[in-house]
Order: sequence, then C-alpha cells, then structure tokens
Amino acid sequence: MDPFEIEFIGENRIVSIIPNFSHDKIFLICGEFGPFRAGLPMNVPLWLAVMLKQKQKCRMVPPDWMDIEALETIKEEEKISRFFTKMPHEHYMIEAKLILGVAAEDIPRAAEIKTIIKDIWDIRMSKLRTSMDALMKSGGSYGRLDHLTMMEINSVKPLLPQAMDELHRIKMMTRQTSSSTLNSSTFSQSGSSQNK
Amino acid sequence: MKIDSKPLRYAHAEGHTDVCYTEDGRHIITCGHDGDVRIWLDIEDDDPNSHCVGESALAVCFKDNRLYVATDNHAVQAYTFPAFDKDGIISRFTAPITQITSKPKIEALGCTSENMEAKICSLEGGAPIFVMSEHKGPVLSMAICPHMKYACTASGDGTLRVWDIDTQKIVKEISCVPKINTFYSAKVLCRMDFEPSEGKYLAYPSNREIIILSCENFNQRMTFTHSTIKCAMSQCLFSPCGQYLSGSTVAGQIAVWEVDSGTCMGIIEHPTSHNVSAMAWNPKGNGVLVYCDVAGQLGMLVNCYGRDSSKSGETESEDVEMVDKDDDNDEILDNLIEHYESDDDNAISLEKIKNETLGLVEKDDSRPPSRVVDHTPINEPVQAPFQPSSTPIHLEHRYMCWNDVGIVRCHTAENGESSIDVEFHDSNLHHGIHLNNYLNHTMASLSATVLALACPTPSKLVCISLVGSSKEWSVSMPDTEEIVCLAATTDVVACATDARFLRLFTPLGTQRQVLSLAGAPVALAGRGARLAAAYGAGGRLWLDAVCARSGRVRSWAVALSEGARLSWLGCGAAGPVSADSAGRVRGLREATGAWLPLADTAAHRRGDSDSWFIVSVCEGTQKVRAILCRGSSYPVTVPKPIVTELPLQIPLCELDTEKGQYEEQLVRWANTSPDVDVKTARETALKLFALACRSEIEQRALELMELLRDDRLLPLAAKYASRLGRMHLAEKLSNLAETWERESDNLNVAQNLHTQGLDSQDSNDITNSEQNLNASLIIPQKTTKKKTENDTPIKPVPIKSSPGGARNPFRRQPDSTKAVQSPLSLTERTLVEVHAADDKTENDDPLKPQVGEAFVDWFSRNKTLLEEQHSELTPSELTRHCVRTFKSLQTKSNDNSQKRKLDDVVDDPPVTNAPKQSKLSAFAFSKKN
Repeated sequence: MDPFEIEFIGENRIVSIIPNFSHDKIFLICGEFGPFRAGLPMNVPLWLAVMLKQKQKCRMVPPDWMDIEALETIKEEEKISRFFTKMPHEHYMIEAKLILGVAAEDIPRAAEIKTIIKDIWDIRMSKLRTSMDALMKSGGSYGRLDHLTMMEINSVKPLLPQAMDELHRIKMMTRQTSSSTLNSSTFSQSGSSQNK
Repeated sequence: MKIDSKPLRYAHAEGHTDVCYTEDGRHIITCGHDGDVRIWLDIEDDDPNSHCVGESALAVCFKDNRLYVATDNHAVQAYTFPAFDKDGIISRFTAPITQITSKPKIEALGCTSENMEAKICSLEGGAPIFVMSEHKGPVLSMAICPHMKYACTASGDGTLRVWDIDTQKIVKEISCVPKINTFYSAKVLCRMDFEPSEGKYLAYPSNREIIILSCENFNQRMTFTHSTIKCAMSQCLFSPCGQYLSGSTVAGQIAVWEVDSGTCMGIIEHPTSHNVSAMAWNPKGNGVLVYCDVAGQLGMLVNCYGRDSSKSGETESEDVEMVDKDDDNDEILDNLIEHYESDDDNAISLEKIKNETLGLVEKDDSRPPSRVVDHTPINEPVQAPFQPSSTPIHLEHRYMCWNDVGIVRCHTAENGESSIDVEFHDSNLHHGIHLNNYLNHTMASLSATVLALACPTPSKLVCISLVGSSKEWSVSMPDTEEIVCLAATTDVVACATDARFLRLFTPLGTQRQVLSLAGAPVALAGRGARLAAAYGAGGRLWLDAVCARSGRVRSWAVALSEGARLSWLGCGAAGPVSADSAGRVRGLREATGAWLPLADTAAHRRGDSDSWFIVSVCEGTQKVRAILCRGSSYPVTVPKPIVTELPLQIPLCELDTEKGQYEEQLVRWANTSPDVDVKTARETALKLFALACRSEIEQRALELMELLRDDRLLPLAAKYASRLGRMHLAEKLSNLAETWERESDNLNVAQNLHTQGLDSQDSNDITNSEQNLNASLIIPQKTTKKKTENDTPIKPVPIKSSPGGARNPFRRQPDSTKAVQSPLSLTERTLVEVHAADDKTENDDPLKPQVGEAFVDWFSRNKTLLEEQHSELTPSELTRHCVRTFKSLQTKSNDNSQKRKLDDVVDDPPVTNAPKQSKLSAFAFSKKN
C-alpha cells in the first residue's frame, strides 16, 4: 500500500472547522455534514476541511490533541517507555501534516507543534527499527507491536517482509543442507522473540 | 489673578520624570530616564546641579535634608543634601520602584514597586514598618496620611486600597484604576493624596473626576471635574495648606480647584499635550506648582492660588513650617469640614454664610464653570455604560464588537495610533474592512447592513453602510453631548448619549427620532427595528424596549442575580436578552413582561476562574453562543478564540429526571421561538402524558391535555390512554375535545370582532398580541405552523359508551395521521408495534360475524390493486391495513350525512382562520381559569 492511500484513508477523519459562508446540509457518501453557519464551528471530514481551507472558505479549529502540553507529555512517555505508547489517534501524522501544511496560521505555535510531532515520529521510528533489528538478530519469526499506526506499519513495509522472506529462504536452505548431513534435526528456534 | 504657565524646559531624556521640592522650597529636584538627578535653584536656572545615580531614576523624594532616589538596581538610595553623598540604602525591591513619597509630618517613607509590593520604611533603613503585599498588579502610587494612620495604594490590578497602618488591614477597596500590566505603560498613574494638615480627606483620580473621600468612613464627599476635561485624570495633589487641589490629566491638562468652594482656579493645557508624570507644590505656600511630563520637560505654574505668587512669596516670610502656622487656612478647612458633614439640607451653615458675605471665598465669574457634586448613594450611577460583547478599552488589542455578523477589533500601537479591522463571519456578506482609527473610536456595533463607530470626545457617530458600495456618513453630537452606548441593526442605528437621549438614525444616515431615557444609559442592543436600552435610575437598572418603526416604548425593570451587574445585552427573536456577571442569561417576554431565566453559563465553566464571554443568543437553535475565557474575563485576540454553543436550559426542578426534562423542553419551547417542529413538541408532550399515565396519575395526564389545548394531540393521547386500558381517561379526553369544539363555535362571532380590532393596529402590535394570547399555550408555534399545514385535521368523533366503541373515533386515524405519525417515532411507532397483535384480534373478532364475507369478497376483488398501492407492507400488515380501509369506507357510507357536516366544520377554519382559532382557544382557556 502506498503512503498516499493511507493518507486517503486518514482523510476521512472528522475535524472541526469554522466556515466563513453559510450553506445547507451537504450529503456525502461518508455521511451528511452541516448546515454550514458562518462563524460557528462544525465537523467535516479532513479532506473537505483541507479543500475548503485551500479555497479560503474556512478556518481550522486545532484538534484537541494538537496542543503543546499534550504533545509534550506524549513525547516524554514515548521516550521513557520501552514499548510504543498510544497515539492520539490512528492517523495523527496525516492529520498533523495536512492541517499544519495548509492551515499553519490557524494553529497557535504551529512551528513548535510541527517540531514536536516530528520528534515523536522520530522516536517511534527509531524504536521500530531497534525492534526490527532485535527481531532479526534473535532470529525470531514473529513479534508483537502494540499501538503502531497505519503509517508507521507502512513505513517498514518495503524492508521487513522482504528481509523475512530472505531469512526464511536461507533458513530453508540451511535446513536442507543440515538435514542431508545430520539425521537428527534440532529445532532450537523457539520463535518467540517478544518485542511487544 | 490668572494662573500663569512658565515655558517648558528640557530637564531629562524622554521617559517617566519625577520632581520634588526641598522642604524650604528653594530647590527643585528632578530625576529622569537618563539616570541623572538635577537640583535646580529655579526653573530658570541654566546650570542645574547634575548627579548621575545610574542608568535611570524613576522617583525622587526629599525629606529631612536627605534625598531618596529610586535607582535602577531597584533600591531606595539615600543621598545627603546638598553634598549629594551616598548615605545608605533604605530598602530594596525585586522590581523597579515606582514612587517614593512622604509627608512633612511623618518620619517614614512610602515606597511602591512593580513587584506588587508597597512598603512603609523608616528613614534610617532596616526592616520596613509595614509591607503591603496583597496587590495583584504593579503598585503605581501611594499616599500616607499625615497621622500615619492610613496609607493608600493604587495598583495596576485596577484597585485602589486604603490600609490601616496600625492593624495592617485593608479598610477600603475601590476599583477606579485602569488595569495595566506594567508601570511603564501606565498612562493613569493614579496618584492620590491625603489632605496634608489633618488628613481628614483622601483625594484620588477616577476617570475624569477627582473624588474626595472622608477618612472617617471612606464615603464619597465631593467630586471635582470640569467641562473642558475630556480625558482621564491621572494625578491629584493637595497644596501644602490643603486649601487647593491640583489635578492633571493624561493629556497634560493641569487644573487647580479651591477645595471648599469648588471653584476651578484655572485649567492649563500642556503645550504639547504630553502626559504629566509628576507634580509638586512649593512648600512655601506661594501657589507655585512645578510639574514634569513624560517627554522629560520641566514646567512651572505660578499664581495658582489666584494671588500673585511672587508677592505672596515676598510677604510671607520664608517660613518652613508655614503650613502649621497658617491659622486662616486651618479655619477655612474646619469650616469646610463642618459644612460637608452637615448633610442635612435644612441645616444652616453659619460659616458658609459668613464666607459668602465676608467674601472669604473669592469667586471669579470669568472662570469657566465647574461642577461640584455632592454624592449620595442614590445619585451614583448604577453601572458604567458598556458595549455588549466588547472588551475593555485599555487593552492594546481589543474586541469592539463580536456578534453574529462579524468581529470588530481595535489595535492600538505603542505610539498611540490605532486601527480598526472588521471581519465578517460570512465573507459573502462583505469583504473585511481595515481603517485607521484617527478619531479614536471606542465603540462599535455591526449589523448586516451597517457598521457604526463612535468616539467620545468630541463625540461623533461614523457609519459605514455595507449595502451596495460602501458609503460612509457621520454625524456630530451637539455641544458637549457624548455618545456612551451604540447599537446598529439592519434597520436602525441607535446611540445613547450622556444627555440621556436615545437617538435613532436610519442605516443610511437620516435622523429618525430622539427619545429621552429616564436614567443614565448603560447598554444598548437591537435587532431589526426593535431596540433594547438599559439605563440606571433610582439605584437600579431599567430596560426600555423600543420599536423604531412605531416608536412605541415600554419600560421594564431588569432582573439581575444578587449583587451582579448587567454584563451583556442583546435582542433575541422573542425579545431582549440579558446576561449578568453571575452568568445568568435571561430573556424578557414583552407580551407578559416576565424575565425568563434561559441559561446559566456559570454551570458550563470548567474552572472557577473561567468565564463565558457571550456573543449572541440564538433562540431558533436554542443556543447561547459564547467564548470560554480560561482564567480571565475577556477573550484574547490571538489566537482567535472559538465560539462555543451552550444549550438554553430553563432551571426547572429535578432536571435529572425524565419528567423534568420533558417539562423543561415544553416550557422552553413555549416561551422562546425555537426552530422546533410542532410535531416534535407534540411528541414530547405525549411522552409527558405517557409518563403521567404510567405513574397512575390520570388527573395530571388530563390536566396536561387541558393545559396544552392542542386538538391534534388529544386524539393521540386518547388513543394511548385507551390502549393502556384507561377507558375512563380516554372518555374524559374525548369529552374535552367536544367541549373545545363547542366553545369554538360559540365564540365564532366574538373572534371575528377581535381580529377586526387587531387588524387596524400596527403590525408589530399584532404579533405581540398574538404572542400574548399564545403565551398560555404550551406550543406557541402551532399558529404559524397550522397555516402551512394543509393535510386534513384529525377530529375525534363523539365517543360511545361501549368499550369497543371507545376506539371508534380513531378508526380513521391510520389514514389521516400518516403524516403525523412518522415524526412521533418513539411513542407512536412503539405504540403501534406493541399493540399490533391484540389490535388485529380485537378488530377482527367482533367484525367477522357481521361483515366477514363482504370483506373477503372485497379484499379478493381489490387485492392486486392494494398490493400495488402498498408494496412496502408485508402480507399480514397489508391485510390489517385493508381491514381498516374497508371499515372506514363502510362507516362512511353508513352515516355519510353526519360525517360530511363534521368535516365541513373541521376543514374550513384551520386553513383560513387558523391563527384566530388558536387565539380563541387561548382566550377560552384563560376564561375557564
């Protein structure tokens, strides 16, 4: 799956905007939204919000989690914890990227928020790489990772499955050769590398 | 002898400059932003003695041959005089010191600082005598009474506090200081002064007045102001004899009054209108006043006592203790005290007569007139005027107006230039407006057709029409009349002035009307052609509801929570809406004259220090639009706050129960004008009815129906009651329907007359009277809805005594109530489903022996057709439906003649006379009670 496709999925999230026009309810495949009342906050899907913002038809309301203090705590927790912590929601990165990209002026302290989200992303990615490394080195065949978001899972997709395939192939080859030389095959690999 | 102003001369670099006299009155001492202390022999001294004390010096005070200077290391440094050697540090602070003060008679120094503290220190240093630390903002100034009994401080948190030095307690708090974060941005320094000889009075500046308090009970005694004073007073200072009072304004005007007579000795305008930062009287008592301004200039006024300063300086020996020995002055002051203490109007003041006849008090007619107001609590303004949904004027970035149309903001730069920008919520309405605020507008109001701006001095109303090409018009207020409140609606622009006039203009600038208000205006709001003007009179608030079209005015007392002030005023669809500082939102029902509590915003606060800044009240959506201000009273301009919608809620009892909630809904819908479908209202009513039925209180259920008086609800209720097996109740309900019908017939004639009378009146009156009549009904929108509803109304047929017949009246309902049924999703649908099973059997069993065969024939004949018509029904449902259809057809053919008659009666009135009928029914209802 492409990152764009994940972005597309993430764009369905509901965000708050303040429109600067009035309009009746609109009926979309994903549900009905509105009525649009100028100056009053309302909920729409992210893609619609971005579109309206680009046309300068609305002002974005910063999502609850897009707050320096909240993000600081998340970052600290992420730093301290060995495991992945729960993110504000599944598509936090997409939401942050789109909102901060198109409506940075509507978000107080946008630059700081951008930095801190990038920090969180970096911490998580390095954690993910370490976990993968540990998995590979321990020779395990599966691991468990909680609270990974779709985008993060997708980021390891080009590498991990292929590497696992290669490993498997090598393993099979060694097994073939060893079984041909040794009669008693030893299955020492438990395959329970717990990475959580 | 007129006050003469000596030319200004440069003393220090630009910035706050302080000045004082030596005790013998021979030297003037100044200090300023350049960090120098200069000792001048006279203002004409070309070579003053200069001493550098640091980077800057904010305050200087002379006492017992020593100089005390506030230096940049936040310490009070003592210097010997005239040698100017360092002589120890008196006290230290953690922030800049803003004032050092003392009095000839006391052996202490009062020091105030930005760090929210004020101290009274002994002259030798050491631990301070008294630390006043309860300030919540920078302390701007301080005064100590000559007996060291009281001290008074003014702080940037907006409060002036009077402290008892002995008990170290606050004895009086007055909010009169403009709120400010730092001393450096303070324009109004609020320098107070105690009367120097006896300390019986405290003078402090408050807005455009100087107020004198008695030190015995701290009640207001006198106020001094002048018609030419157009901006806030910043300082006041008693002359050493206590007989004269000088005051300065932020625009650099200096005024001198004679205290006992209240005569203004003169007002001197500053040549460059710079704010005066300090004043000092010459202790010689020769009427010489020196002052410094924020540009660092030193000025001098002579002849301030109305006598020649140079002569008095010569004749009166250079006596340092002149103040104490001046018996004359003391006597006059005593007289003055006696005079003001005798509040009784009938008491004859001998002294006053003596003064007048003996000419002790000279009155110069050439002087401009001034006002001295004796204050009694009743004459005090109930509340200062305000603009609804605006933030205070002193803020650098403020909202002048935030309403449903848009936002008007005002930004003031440090150099005093300000600009206004207008943002419309709906960008299709008008593009944003940005304009320079040359006239210093302080009030703004916005509607969909016009932007109105107003400035206080010289008062002018400027309006920009938003319709078509932007056309600006302005109108000046006559003479000294000043606009204090402003409101713009789509149809009218209104302003209330300090002359207690309410002036109405059209949005394009035609003067429409002037009305007199019965009190000092407090706030103004409007919607369409209707205006609400709040004013204070007789110690309380009143509200005038004005119809600009007909000019009709009605006055109401404003309901407020205990101890609360009016904090917002608006006009909803159903009448004026107010909010008080306790967070209660109330709506005035003009028809009944009742204030209805609509919401309590305080209940939605998340913390104790939060508050809601109300933007508008929308009765259609039943919401209060407000902005949550976390830990403050006013919203910030950046980041732009988000409007939240709070629900309206009538504070009925037991709102956590189902019954309470339904009751609240019905009361709310009946008393506001919500965008609620009449069917939803009926549904709620029916639920309430069902609750009463289920809890075995039939009388209440019946009473509810009588109260609601809705002829469509009644059959539904009766049906429900009969299904629940409450035949008695169902019967009573049917009787009720009959009674209503009869009443409506009887009163047909009266009703016609009634409407004729109404038609001749103003259209506005009609709506009002309609509201009036509807007020007793629980669902008022019934009238308007009925006009549009063309489906045939349901009419119960007189009930028969047999239990089977009890349901007969409603046999036709499945057809005719189809449209009504769907919105009653909860009750009706469940009713139908729950009772579906026994419905069928009950309906089929008694009917079969009589018409069974006929039905089967009829059904088989028409089956295909019926199936086509009702393809959405399952076979069993179809059969049931067909049975009903068949039965209704049958009954129709049976008693056709009687039915027709009923239908005729029913069909005509709801379409043509729908509102009349409701009026009538309401009338009948009230008559019944």
